[in-house]
Amino acid sequence: MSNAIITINNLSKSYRNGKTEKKVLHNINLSVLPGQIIGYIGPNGAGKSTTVKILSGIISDFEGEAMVAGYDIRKEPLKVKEHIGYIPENASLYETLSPMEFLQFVGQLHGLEVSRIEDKAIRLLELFDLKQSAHDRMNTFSKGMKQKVLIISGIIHNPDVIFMDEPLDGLDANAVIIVKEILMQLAKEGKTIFYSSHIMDVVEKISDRIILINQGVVIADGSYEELSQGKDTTSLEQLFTFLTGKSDHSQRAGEIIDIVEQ
Amino acid sequence: MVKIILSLFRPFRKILEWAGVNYHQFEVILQAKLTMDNRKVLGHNNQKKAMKNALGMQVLIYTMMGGFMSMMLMKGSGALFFFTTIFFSFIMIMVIMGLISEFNTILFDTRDNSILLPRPISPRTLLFVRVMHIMIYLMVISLSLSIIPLIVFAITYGVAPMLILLADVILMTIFSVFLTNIIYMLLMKFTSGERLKDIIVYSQIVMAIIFMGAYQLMPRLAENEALISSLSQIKLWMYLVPPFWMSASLTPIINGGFSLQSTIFLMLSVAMPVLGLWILSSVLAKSFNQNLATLDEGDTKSEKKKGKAEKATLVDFLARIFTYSTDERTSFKTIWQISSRDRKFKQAVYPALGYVFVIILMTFINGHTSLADIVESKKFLLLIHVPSFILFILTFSLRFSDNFKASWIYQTIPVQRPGHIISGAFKAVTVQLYVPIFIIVNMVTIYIWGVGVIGQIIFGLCAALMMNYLILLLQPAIFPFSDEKSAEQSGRNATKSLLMFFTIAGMGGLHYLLIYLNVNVLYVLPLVLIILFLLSRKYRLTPWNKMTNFA
Repeated sequence: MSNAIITINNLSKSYRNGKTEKKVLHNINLSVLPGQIIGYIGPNGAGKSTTVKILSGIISDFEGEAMVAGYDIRKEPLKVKEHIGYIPENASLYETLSPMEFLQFVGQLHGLEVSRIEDKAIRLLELFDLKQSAHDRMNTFSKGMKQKVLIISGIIHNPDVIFMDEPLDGLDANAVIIVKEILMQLAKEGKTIFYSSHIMDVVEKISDRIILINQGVVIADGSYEELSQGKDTTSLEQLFTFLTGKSDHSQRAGEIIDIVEQ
Repeated sequence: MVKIILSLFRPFRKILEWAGVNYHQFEVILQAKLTMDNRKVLGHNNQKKAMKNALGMQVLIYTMMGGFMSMMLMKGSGALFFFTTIFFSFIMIMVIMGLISEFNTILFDTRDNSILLPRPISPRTLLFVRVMHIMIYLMVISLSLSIIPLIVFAITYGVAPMLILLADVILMTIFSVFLTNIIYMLLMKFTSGERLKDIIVYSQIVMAIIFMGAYQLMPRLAENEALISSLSQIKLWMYLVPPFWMSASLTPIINGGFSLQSTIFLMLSVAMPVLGLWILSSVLAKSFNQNLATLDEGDTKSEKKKGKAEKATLVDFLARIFTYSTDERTSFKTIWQISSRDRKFKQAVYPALGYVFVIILMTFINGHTSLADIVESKKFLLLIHVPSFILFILTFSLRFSDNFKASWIYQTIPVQRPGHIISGAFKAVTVQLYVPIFIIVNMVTIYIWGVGVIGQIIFGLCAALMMNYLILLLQPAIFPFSDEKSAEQSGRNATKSLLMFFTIAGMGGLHYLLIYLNVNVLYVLPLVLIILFLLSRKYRLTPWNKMTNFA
């Protein structure tokens, strides 16, 4: 697809430890259009975070090709990074700074003017119910509060593509609803969301395309309706179970309880 | 303060930009990092104040060390070349040591992976921020070391030579930082993740031992006339040793006789830091981010731990011998595993193992005494009591861990006597790290003094354990690996060192007194054993209300 905003060709990635090598991504091919919300799902260790880290320029040692926002991530990583926002899975922040200071810091690295960042940051913090704590150091914040700051830091510079790795971790129900709304409205404005998560109901609700990865291989790609066609499933969770071949949950649960009770 | 430091970099803006650094981003990141440094460990037991005191104490100690060195510089212009070489070597060692032992966390701060790597920041900018961030602290070290020598230099030789010395100190610091970084970057290129972390820890340990050795050796070198005269002439190999670049170009400026050789040394002293800058920015910076990201990756550890099963049976066997209850045995085995894998614990304890050998070696080298003289002496007391140093380090280090939050586990288990847990933990590290070194060292004792000394060795071992249980009982009882590491950096190390020194010296002194009074230690041994038994029992029976809870 020529107008794709993300293109991946034969993407592979291995981790090495001494003489052993573990391949976590196997020849992935993808093409994402602007304005799409991609729900990138898969079991633990499937390679979701690795894909997101490669596309965000955090991991640069990979095989294959990856283009984001029209730039080759290997050849022009800084150009790619000018166009993306990244929200990581762990609330990794400089916790001795205040939200305001952290957002100032991030904004300046993206070349925004100080006064503009301040204005945007205070308004965004207010909408996320963090205005009261805007100047408090984040080492006293709850996990959800930190996650809100991370979400703001991933979008404050108005990126074209937003990569999210479990972004709703620790958020309260109201904040989850707000983030879902933000994502859907941003997509309507032409922003592309690459959303990696375990939380199936959120993925099901917001994604217009779901990509399921298992053991480093894409095993399903399409809308929820397309993927569930012809299958006896009523939710993405059931579909996920079906596609990853792990349908013996109740049997496993029974076995676990048996062991515990022995 | 942050603004002042940032302003110090502004005159070098062009140079940094020449090296490929985005100066605006450089300043923004450095500002954030320095602001965070200022706010570290706030709100926990007044530690910020303690940390400031510790830094102040460090500056004071370095200044005093510098004062000691300046006495050598005053010895006269004849040996100026030798003493300036020692001075620059010392600066180089201290800077490299500082970078390896204390500030490598700045260089390898993996938090930056998710915060900075997805931003449009070039690898060079990021690397330079880190290097310059470290450089600020290392400059404090080298300048505090130099302050008295600079004053002495100004009085003895005049202001201009003092300014040259200052420039050389700065160049030496810069070069040492680049040298260490280049070594790190090369290591990162050829190793990855877990292995690099191991290499860093082991290099820290080796450096600490080298430093201890050098510290012991330096005063002896300063007295060695033959060495001074042999190092007073330029030799070819000196072109390869950085401290000589500075001293060989500085000395002729002061003493006269500037030659072609001096010019080459002068060029090396200026050109090499610049070359280091170039290598770092052009050759190694590109792969820095990539390698840094691998530090965060979960390495597959399947390959590494073969032969675990056999080791486990040894631990089981030792646990059965040294423990009384299931709780104590479980603690023994778990702490044995953690202490043999936890890098921070190794970092804190392993240098002590090396120090013991260095101290013993130095004491025997000292004075050029013959073996016959040694046999006549009571130096076996040294071999018996110096290893206690390890025991005290273990006692002080066992409570700390980066994963201190995992100590919630102790609060949730239904153990009647938490003392069994702490007792098992102490026994595990003692058997694992103290006992083997004690045995190795005292095999030498038996070799030199004969089997007749075995009674003294057993007495020394029991006395050391007895003293250590006493210290454990006098301290607040804390579960193993349950306290935050930063607490250790709160300026209490000096007190601990003093306590260690006086306890070991006291034990050795008492032991000597018994021998001096012709008291057979084997008669006193039963008393020591009874006290040891009672103290260890009391420690093992520590109740819940005596436990300090950090969870």
